[in-house]
Amino acid sequence: MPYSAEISRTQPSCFLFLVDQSGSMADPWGGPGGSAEGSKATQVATILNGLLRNIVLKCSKDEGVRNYFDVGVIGYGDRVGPAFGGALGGRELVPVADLADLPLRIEDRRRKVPDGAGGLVEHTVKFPVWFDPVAHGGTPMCQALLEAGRVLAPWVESHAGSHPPIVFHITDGESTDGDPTRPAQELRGLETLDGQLMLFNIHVSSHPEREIAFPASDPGLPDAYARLLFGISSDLPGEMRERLALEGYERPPGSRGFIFNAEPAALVNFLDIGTRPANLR
Amino acid sequence: MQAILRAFSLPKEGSSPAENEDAWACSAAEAPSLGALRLALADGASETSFARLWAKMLVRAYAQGAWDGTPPAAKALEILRRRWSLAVSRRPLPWHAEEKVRQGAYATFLGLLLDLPQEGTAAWQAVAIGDSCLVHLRLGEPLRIFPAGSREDLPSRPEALSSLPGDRADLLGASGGAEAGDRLLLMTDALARWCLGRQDRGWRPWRSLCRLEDTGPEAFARFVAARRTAGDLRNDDVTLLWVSLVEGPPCCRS
Repeated sequence: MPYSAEISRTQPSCFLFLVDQSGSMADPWGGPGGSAEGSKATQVATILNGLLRNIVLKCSKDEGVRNYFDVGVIGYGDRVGPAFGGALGGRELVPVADLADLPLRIEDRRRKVPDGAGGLVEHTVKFPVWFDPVAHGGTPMCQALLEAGRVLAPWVESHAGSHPPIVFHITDGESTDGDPTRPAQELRGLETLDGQLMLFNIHVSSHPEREIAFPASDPGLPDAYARLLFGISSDLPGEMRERLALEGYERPPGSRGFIFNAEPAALVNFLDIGTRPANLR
Repeated sequence: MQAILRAFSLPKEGSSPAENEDAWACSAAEAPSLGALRLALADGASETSFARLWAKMLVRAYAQGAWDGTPPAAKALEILRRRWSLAVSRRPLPWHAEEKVRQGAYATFLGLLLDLPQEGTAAWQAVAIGDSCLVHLRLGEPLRIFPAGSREDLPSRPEALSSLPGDRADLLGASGGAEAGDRLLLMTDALARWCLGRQDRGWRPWRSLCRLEDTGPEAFARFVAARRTAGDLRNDDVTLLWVSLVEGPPCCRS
């Protein structure tokens, strides 16, 4: 059965983020809470830092962080290449324990969380920041997808038994170096014995449209960029739809790994590395 | 009636024994001749931190009679939760460990209280939350399986007891009578899935397990390794507590 390989320290999986850092990301974000001062670049940084934080938390145990995943970030805008800053600068894929140890900084943020008795209580939570908003240059999306393939081809060769890599592509979809369909197809063609690489597109748009998560068709999508990104997103296999249903995303067959103006921080929970209690908040 | 206990517990393949998040405890270790046995099994949820500690605290409290899983014992559970919180906050933690402490530790739980009479039928009471199972065998066949009855009753994400103050703790209860010659088996979820999956297909997994009754931990390790290699036993921590009931003056032995 595909997408069923155990994820362990001896058989890790991989997350690669492709992050649009082009000039158009300075435009306002249109999603919930979007405002004049909330640019798409700010939203991208929020999404990326949230996903990275959840990956680390998933791997954090009593004695430290277990290396269940290799993690990389490729930025594209002025240039295409590894986008980690600080002590991780220049590295393409890092074990998740390094990610945990080396954020740019750790901020204290106030957050309301359920108190277990039906109410909310405000807590200060540690929020690591690996990325600040960036918006410069063109949108060489095709080049970025090819670069992802270059980074991941040796990884799938050396991890043949592992759960295949998952690529999260976070963008406004406005490619300036051509149609990304073919490079995306090539990237999705990478595979391990457990299945094909999964390409998720997270569309951060200026379009003031409601959130859309994992649609099964494109007629309801708000613009041509959304339809293009939907078209290059992986089909969600049955196993993955079952896990997403446990996260509250009930999706029919034909659903794709495409999210529009939505908060995807819970996405990493659809990979199981062990028992996750139903009542874990 | 006498209860003879055998216990087997193994970490998942690739993990060390210190990483085994299954925990069990038994009152017989401290009071073998009381005529009653309190036996508990907990399985720390691997996506939560300090779950092994939480599982150990729960089973010890149950075995010692300090907490029995019922609603009137809610205060005792809150005391355990405070102890867990103090224990994990003794030293400074990195940001991710601090957040995991805030999220709490979770563990499934199964407790068995067995009253051993001078003669006649022994009464048992069980409490459970999650996917560990109690199997009551007579003549090698199941009389009762609790809390799941079939493989479909075992969810991939079970309910579990959290270490967070005030969190709900809705344990299910069951009771029954056992005779000399009966066996009561407590097992964590990986083995329960294996057994119930086979039973649902009309096979007799209990016979395979009964062949382990008079063997040692090496035979159990071979049994587990063979099924993991075959791919039909999930690679997870696995624990089996085996209680055999025999005639004799009331006592518990292991």
